Amino acid sequence: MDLMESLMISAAGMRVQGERLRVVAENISNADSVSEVPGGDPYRRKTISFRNALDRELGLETVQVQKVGLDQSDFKIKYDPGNPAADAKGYVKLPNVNALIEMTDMREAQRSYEANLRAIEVARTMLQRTIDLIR
Amino acid sequence: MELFQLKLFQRLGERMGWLGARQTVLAQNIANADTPHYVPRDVKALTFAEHLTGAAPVTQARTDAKHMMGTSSPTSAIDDQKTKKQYETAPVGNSVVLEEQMIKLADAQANYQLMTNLYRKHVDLLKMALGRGG
Repeated sequence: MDLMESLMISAAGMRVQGERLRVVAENISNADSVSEVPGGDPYRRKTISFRNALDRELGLETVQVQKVGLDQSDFKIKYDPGNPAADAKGYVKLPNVNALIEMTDMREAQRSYEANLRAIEVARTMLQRTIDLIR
Repeated sequence: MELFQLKLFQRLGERMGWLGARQTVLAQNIANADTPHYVPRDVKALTFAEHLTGAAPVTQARTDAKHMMGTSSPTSAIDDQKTKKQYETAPVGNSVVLEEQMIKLADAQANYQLMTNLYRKHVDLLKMALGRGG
């Protein structure tokens, strides 16, 4: 049945956006996580990417998380000799997390989540109207 | 009398099936609003002219019992295809515009409601003809 399939697709869409929000939360909460050893690498920002692939159980194409990768951009460097993570010259590597990017990502995830929710509502209303025909 | 023998109900059912299929395709587009390189799809418009000419999918004639039918089924009337005219494309190659999809979704919903209301109205007409009010 078409409308039930539509519900499944939207649910998959919401699931991946939830996953994305989890990655964003991880990045934001680790925005200040420096290395545990002096001169070591701090927390590296995580990225997430999606793909449209066949779900063999449902027999439909649904959206899935392709992979959670690492952002390879450079770390920020700050002169802070008093920090336990500072190297021999007194420089500390800070995570490559940009709060602005994370916030934008979060907003986009929220917007997409809402759109999926709306699609579910529409499918549900259509189903309801069909059922109402027998009254 | 079977209700579906009436052409009107047949058409209504067909249109409802088409709208359901369109809703599924739109839901797929919305779910993929952030998938790289995803191009939105839409179903082929259901036109009245096609109904009149009876443009059924063409299949090969099977003149012998030993003939094997192809594995791929003939393309159905409800056929989804990539949208040719795209509104805008993001740098990652995704061209889903949520607003556009939302409008299409609202349109499908309104049309579906129209179909169900028409269906009920005609059932009421039949009931009236049977003399049971309506």
